[in-house]
Amino acid sequence: MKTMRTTAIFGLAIALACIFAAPASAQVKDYKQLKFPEMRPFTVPQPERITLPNGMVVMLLEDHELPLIQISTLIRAGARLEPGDKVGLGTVFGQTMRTGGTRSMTGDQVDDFLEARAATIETGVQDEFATANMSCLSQDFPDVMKVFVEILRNPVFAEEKIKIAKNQLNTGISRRNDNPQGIMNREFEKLVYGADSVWARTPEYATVEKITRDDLIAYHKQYFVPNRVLLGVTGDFDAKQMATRIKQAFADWPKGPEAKDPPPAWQTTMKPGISYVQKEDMTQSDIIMGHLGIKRDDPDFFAVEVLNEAFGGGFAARLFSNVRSKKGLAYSVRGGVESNFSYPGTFNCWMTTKTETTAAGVDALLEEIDNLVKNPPSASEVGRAKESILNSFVFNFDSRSKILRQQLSYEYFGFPLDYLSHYRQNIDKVTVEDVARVAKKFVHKDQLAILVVGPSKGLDRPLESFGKVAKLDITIPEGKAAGAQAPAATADSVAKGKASFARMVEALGGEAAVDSVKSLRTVASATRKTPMGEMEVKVTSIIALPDHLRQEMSLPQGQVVIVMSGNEGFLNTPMGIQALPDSQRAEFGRGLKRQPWFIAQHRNDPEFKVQLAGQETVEGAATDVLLVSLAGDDIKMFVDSATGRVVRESYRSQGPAGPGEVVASFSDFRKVSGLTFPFKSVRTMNGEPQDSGTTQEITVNPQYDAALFAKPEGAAATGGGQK
Amino acid sequence: MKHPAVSLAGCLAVIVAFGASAAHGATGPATAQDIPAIEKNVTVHTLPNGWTFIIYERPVAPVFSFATHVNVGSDREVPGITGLAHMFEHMAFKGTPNIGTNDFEKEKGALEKVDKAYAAYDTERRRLNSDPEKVKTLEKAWKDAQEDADKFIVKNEFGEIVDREGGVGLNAGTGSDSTVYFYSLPSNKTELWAYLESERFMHPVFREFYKERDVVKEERRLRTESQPFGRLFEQFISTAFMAHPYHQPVVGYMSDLNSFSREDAEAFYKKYYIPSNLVTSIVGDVKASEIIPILDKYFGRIPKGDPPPPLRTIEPPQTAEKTVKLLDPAQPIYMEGYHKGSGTDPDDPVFDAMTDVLSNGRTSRLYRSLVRDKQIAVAAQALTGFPGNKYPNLFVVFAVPARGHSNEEVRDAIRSELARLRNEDITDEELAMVKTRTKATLIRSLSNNNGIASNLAEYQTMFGDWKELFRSVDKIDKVTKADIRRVAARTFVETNRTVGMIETAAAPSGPGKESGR
Repeated sequence: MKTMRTTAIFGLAIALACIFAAPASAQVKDYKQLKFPEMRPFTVPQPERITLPNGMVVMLLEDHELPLIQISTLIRAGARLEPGDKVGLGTVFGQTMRTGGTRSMTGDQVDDFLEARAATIETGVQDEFATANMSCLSQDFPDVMKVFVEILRNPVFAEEKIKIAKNQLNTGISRRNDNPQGIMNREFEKLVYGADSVWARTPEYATVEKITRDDLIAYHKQYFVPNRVLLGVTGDFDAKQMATRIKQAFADWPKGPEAKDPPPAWQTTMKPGISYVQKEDMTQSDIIMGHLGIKRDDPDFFAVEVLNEAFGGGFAARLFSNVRSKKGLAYSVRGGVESNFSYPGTFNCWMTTKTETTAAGVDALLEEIDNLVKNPPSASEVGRAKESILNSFVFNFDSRSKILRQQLSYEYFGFPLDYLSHYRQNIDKVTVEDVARVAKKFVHKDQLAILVVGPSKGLDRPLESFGKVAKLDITIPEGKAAGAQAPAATADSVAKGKASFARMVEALGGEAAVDSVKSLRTVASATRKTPMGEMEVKVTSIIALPDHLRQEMSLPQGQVVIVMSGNEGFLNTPMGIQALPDSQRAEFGRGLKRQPWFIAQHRNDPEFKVQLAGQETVEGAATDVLLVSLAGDDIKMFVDSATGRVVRESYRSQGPAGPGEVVASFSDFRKVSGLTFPFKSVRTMNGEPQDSGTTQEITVNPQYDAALFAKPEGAAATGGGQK
Repeated sequence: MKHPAVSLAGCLAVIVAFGASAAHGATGPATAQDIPAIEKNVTVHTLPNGWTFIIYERPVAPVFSFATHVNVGSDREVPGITGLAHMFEHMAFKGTPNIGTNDFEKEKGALEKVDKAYAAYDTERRRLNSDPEKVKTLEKAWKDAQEDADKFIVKNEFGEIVDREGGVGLNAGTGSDSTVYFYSLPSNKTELWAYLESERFMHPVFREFYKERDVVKEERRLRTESQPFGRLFEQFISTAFMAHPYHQPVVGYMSDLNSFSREDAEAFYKKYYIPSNLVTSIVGDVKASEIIPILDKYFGRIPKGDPPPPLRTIEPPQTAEKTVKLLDPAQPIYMEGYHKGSGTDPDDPVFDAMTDVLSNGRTSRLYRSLVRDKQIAVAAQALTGFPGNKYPNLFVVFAVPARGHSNEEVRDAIRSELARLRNEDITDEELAMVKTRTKATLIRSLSNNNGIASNLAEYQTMFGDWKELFRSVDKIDKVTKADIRRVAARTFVETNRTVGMIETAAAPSGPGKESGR
């Protein structure tokens, strides 16, 4: 959560503010007696802007103080444009564009070349744009620039560097629950923007796994064309010569298509309410609450700037004064209505406080939010906030590289280049009434998503006192185990795998019978190992393709129903209805994808892969071991060489005690409606017995009531945006 | 506010998130030969009371930055008052008799009552067989006294003035060696700055002391207790140093934060915040000829004080390898440290050179071995001057193992790189690169006011001469391959080593289980 503050800005020559003038003389007892001299006239330097024939925009600003030259580049790309099943593509792209080498140099050669000159070139992909930056001593500029142009135009994305980038990204995923603030920010954004939205989604092992070199090459081809590039240079050079040099370097770069990017996929599904992430290795709770904020081009942006300054802006702002100084509840406390250029920011307030004052902390923030609307900033608060913004305005121009970067970002987001020259007047015009009005307009106490991250014991009051608590499951979904990647497929292993798979389909009943399945009802009884001993469960499940699944379980405590329909899922227990957390829903859905008949139905999908990994003996029978991958989920199938039946499967799964290796063994095969199903199964996890089941009845394509998959009344109230 | 000693945790998080950081660094001017050129813009002015000012005229924009460097950090704390230097840093924003109060005469009396009430409460609660009822009554009396005193407070007035007048970056930091105060203002407000800065060090008023102590306790929970690296760091330094105050956490132990008093802070301030212990650098759109009279007028008001005696304790030589292993729910982290001399030791530049060869950028040895070739870590970093530089300190290497890789793997790879420094000369290219990058880093550091201010004040404090900042490049230039082997052979030995690591243990509690903490 950055606290929003207008630093990204700039404008035409602005003669900056003046106040009084008087010399220092007698001893001062009160700072109010001090008179400030007039600020010396200061003309804000303006970059020169050039458009090349191929559409590339170039800005140049000389700065002769030090023998350095810097290039900052914005490219019309961004993580917003990566496909949802390949989240992380931008990160891998941004790193390997630089490390993966070019057509003329390997990545290692680039490293050696740059570091011998103490020069840097770095590329990256943010949500809204991509960047390419360079810094070097001015004497080295011609040579370093050549490498920079090569990286921008001709990167090769060497496979070995992609592997390193993925290793780093996966390590980041594995560590993402170590840092409390990281959890808080991530989960809050998911609550506000929606977990799958482009502004909140996170890379997962499964999405990283799918990223290929071809994807990176295609991304580069599509977005790295000169008419999508804004390039700025500051430093110790002559602007005329530099313009010539830049033109020469990029003149033969052909223009790309004038395609408009699709609007980012997201819509808020946010529902007010309190959510909780359990994290026991803390002595504090992290608390955040809020909802959507505003976009930067909102006409009320300037009034919001003043509001933010009065509310969470500094030492004298309300949050710091009341929550920190007066109550001593927190070291960190921040808040405000944030804005982004191309999508709404969030209104948020956050703090960290010891476990024993968690509820007091929630109360304190709620009180400040309530008070912000009921008792909006007074004339003196607004006056102080405006003075603070106006008096610090000059810091927008205290370095030439800062000025250039501001210009680039205005150009990128389609803001007028003289935006900053009107900024002062716009702040000046804000009235006490404006601030009160925007507080009411953009701050809504009744619409807050509240999130607490912290220990479960020792709170001053249960979180339930703030409403029904949605417990968020932040378990990291297992991808492939590190280092346990499938052996590389060969033409031979794939051919043999396909042949064995075809025998399996025959043994199931043949392609026609397999393809005829549209729905399936199974009644079974299972014996499950639990910490309290063995438990008998009666399970009735209905599958309705493509993605509806319902399981009714009769437990000693009562009936439990789990339903999944597409991306929705809920759990109906005697305790009430709850949304099914994402990871559980995904795991539940995977159960369907492990059924041999389901896999067989997808034998011609582009995402279906099979290869023979060897032969093994299972329960005395020789089997072919098939490595099957369907839409990113991997499973090992053991196919009886004699009968073609699947007698065993093994796969990674999420168990009650964490991830592990599941082995499921099948027996007692019987024919139903022309298809063969196993009627007995036994499962182990990491070698420990898990459960065993006996099927009583299977019906292929049964009649069923569609209402079975509908969410009962009242279910919407729980789970918030965590579909 | 923040204390830099723990900023490594932040640095680690960034590295984990974004991959290895790239090299910074280059050739060019800004060596000792250029001191005369730079000197033209620099004026040193020492007041009769001993306070030294360094003025660097850099009229790029009508703004200036300053850094006030106080030569005391947690190094002068003893058991019972750990965390006090940092606590004082927080109090320096609370105002003076002229700022932050609506009636200082009455407030003064009210604060004295708070002191008395706290002393009575503290004495009773610590007494053997103390009476719980009496403790409760005394605690209430203490809290009531605080409420009384709070009536005279104008909330955060000091910060409000700076904010309102356009100040940016108002903050301070406490480390093991020193405490630094800084912000930036438009350059027509130098006199306001001189007034505020001299006021707060001439007669600070420690109002809201006990509320702020609670804030600092939250800071400890935030940075040390609730972050894996914070937990490791505290255990690591307390193991590596047995006698020297570097073994203490800057933020302080919870027991001390629960105990020390406003009067303890007053005593600490009187002893160490004397003008000759302070250096202030002012960088930006200022003219020495114009600002010196202002400095004389405002800072000259402060009386001279007696310099504090030097610290007595010297860390004894380490004679056995030490290991600290945290069984923690977090993912693994590995670090090892070796004792070395202080920042003024003639061999110190050799450690700077080794740091660069080992971990500066993608050509560095640790990156190429652990991250690129073996792919067992996602980041590996060497640091010198850990946790401070004023006294003999540590050379530290840490690494973040990649998913599925162990501390043992990264340890072995780090050890073999340290052995290479001991057993073979580094290459000519590596040595040249170190020197080029050191110069470039210095040049780049000259591009912003607050960076320059902080460097000048630090070097003036440490060496008594800001010019040492520029001479540091020459010192690196003189480092030879033989120096590196000699120093590596002496330093990287088993008995001089402390190992720290986080080993992932099952979460202390999962959903529905009892908490283990």
